[in-house]
Amino acid sequence: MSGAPVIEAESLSTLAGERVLHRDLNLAVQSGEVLAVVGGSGSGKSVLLRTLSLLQVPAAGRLTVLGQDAARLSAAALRALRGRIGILFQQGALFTGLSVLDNVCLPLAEYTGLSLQNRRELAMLRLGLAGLPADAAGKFPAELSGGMIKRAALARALALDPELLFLDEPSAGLDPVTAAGLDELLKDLRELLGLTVVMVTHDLDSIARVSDRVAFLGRGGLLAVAPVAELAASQEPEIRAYFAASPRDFGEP
Amino acid sequence: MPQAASLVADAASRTLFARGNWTVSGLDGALRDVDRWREPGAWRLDTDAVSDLDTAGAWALHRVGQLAQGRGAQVDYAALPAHHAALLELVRSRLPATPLVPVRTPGLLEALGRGVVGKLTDVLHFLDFIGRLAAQGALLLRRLRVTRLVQEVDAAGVRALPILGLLAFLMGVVLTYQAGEPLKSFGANILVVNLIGVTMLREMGPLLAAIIVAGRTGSAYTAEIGTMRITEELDALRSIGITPMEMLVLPKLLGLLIALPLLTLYASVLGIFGGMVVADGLYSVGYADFLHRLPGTFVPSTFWVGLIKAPVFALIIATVACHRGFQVSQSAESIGRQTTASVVQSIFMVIVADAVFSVVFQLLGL
Repeated sequence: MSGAPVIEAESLSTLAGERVLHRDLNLAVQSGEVLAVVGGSGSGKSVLLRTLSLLQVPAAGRLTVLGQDAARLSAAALRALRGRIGILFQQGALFTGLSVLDNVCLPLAEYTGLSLQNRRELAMLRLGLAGLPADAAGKFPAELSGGMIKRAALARALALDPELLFLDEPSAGLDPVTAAGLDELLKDLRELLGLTVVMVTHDLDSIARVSDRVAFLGRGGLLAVAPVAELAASQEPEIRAYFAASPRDFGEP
Repeated sequence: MPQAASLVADAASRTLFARGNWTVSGLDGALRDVDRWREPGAWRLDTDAVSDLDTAGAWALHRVGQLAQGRGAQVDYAALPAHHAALLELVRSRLPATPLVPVRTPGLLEALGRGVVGKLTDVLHFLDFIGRLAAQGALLLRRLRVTRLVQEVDAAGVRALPILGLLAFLMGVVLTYQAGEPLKSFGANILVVNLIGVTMLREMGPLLAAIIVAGRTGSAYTAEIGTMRITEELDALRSIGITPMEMLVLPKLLGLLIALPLLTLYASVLGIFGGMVVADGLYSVGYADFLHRLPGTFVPSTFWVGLIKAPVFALIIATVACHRGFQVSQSAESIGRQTTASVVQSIFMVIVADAVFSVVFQLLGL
């Protein structure tokens, strides 16, 4: 593991339509770190996630992901880079025409030379990792509950053992037990594989359990990046209001 | 370039040496090694030379032991470094217990049976839809949404004018040109007026308008209703107390009933105009002669026979398109499939209806 940050954003600006969402945003995500991104509705959490995961081009600024300058990637390099990044979309975004197992097999078929049988068995492992029962494999997304869609989408995001994982509200719609199981999995993977995670979430329990640092978005930029205990003690009015809405003990900063 | 994963069995020390990069992108070679290795007995697994291990690699290591067990051999994992063992433990604890169920492909007979039953169910659904439309539609007329109706007439009628006009004009040009040559050799140039007038009013105008509307508007109806079904907007409508029938189907149906006859007339006129241009340019039938002769070339019934088909075609297109929209199931592919089916079926039924009309009019002597 190198000491260089996995994601480095320098004076990044993003747009939503004509509106500037973030201006001059600076952020570095270290290798093996779990960074939670929080902020009020409309503060551009999802847009930031889309930008950092190379789905949206920043309006200005420099973005380096896994050591490569996002603006200067060739098509082949971008494709290779995407194989190292896993994304869990907010609504799951499973391919509705494919079964759960085929959804997970698709990235494996694209990026590896494994045989069909091996791809399927490996996909079953992904489903197990994400906490799905084996009988969900043959089902289609339309037949799944909201929580199962989330887990199937997580299984697809994990398909290629990514170095960098983006999660957009992973625990929304999950029951507390499954949400805690997800956090355990993230902890395990980070510990064993050095996985770096950037997650947008509103789940303060999950933030307290797994996040190393929290990035707080607001007023068109990054208000603070700090461990959650430090952030909860912040005097910034917006951050105070956010944490005051559901007070809990995050320990001493 | 990292070294690809491999597995080498050393018989002398009874050790399996795993080497290289045991990660998801380079595993295929190692898995082939695993499948090739068939020696029985007790083995020790050594992963000291593995440079990188991820969960896929750990799964492959787990497979080594499983395959060995199936062949009466044992693999000892005790010598694994701690972090490899931990990853293997994670994979083992999360691996689903039940084996993978193979996907069943239906046989020829089953596929045939399912196909036939599917088609028959389709017909039943369609009849059911027409029945409900008739029963509920009559009741819902009081709650007709006039704004929606005007929007539908605008979308299906007014916005179709440019493309339909151009196509009808070109059709008139082509027909007159094709028919004009043989007529010219008989010196009967003037008869192109009779030909183009009757063809356009009776057949080409109604058919052309119906086919354009089926492709342009019918497909839009199916995709719109289908998407609303997937995004649960139809359920949301119901929850507010608005039936999809009154909000979507009825305005579309009535809108098309108004728009298609007008489009038919428009297409006929533009087609005749196209013929007139060619007749003037190639067959020395001037505009004045053409227009002077035109009213005498057909009886009033010819005009009405063409126009009376239009509402029937409109009914066919709107009901097929809306019905197909409601048939969309929960996948993006299904929208495409149903939209295709909507256009193909409505054009098919329009042409069949046109043939029936011909026979009926023949019998009636019109």
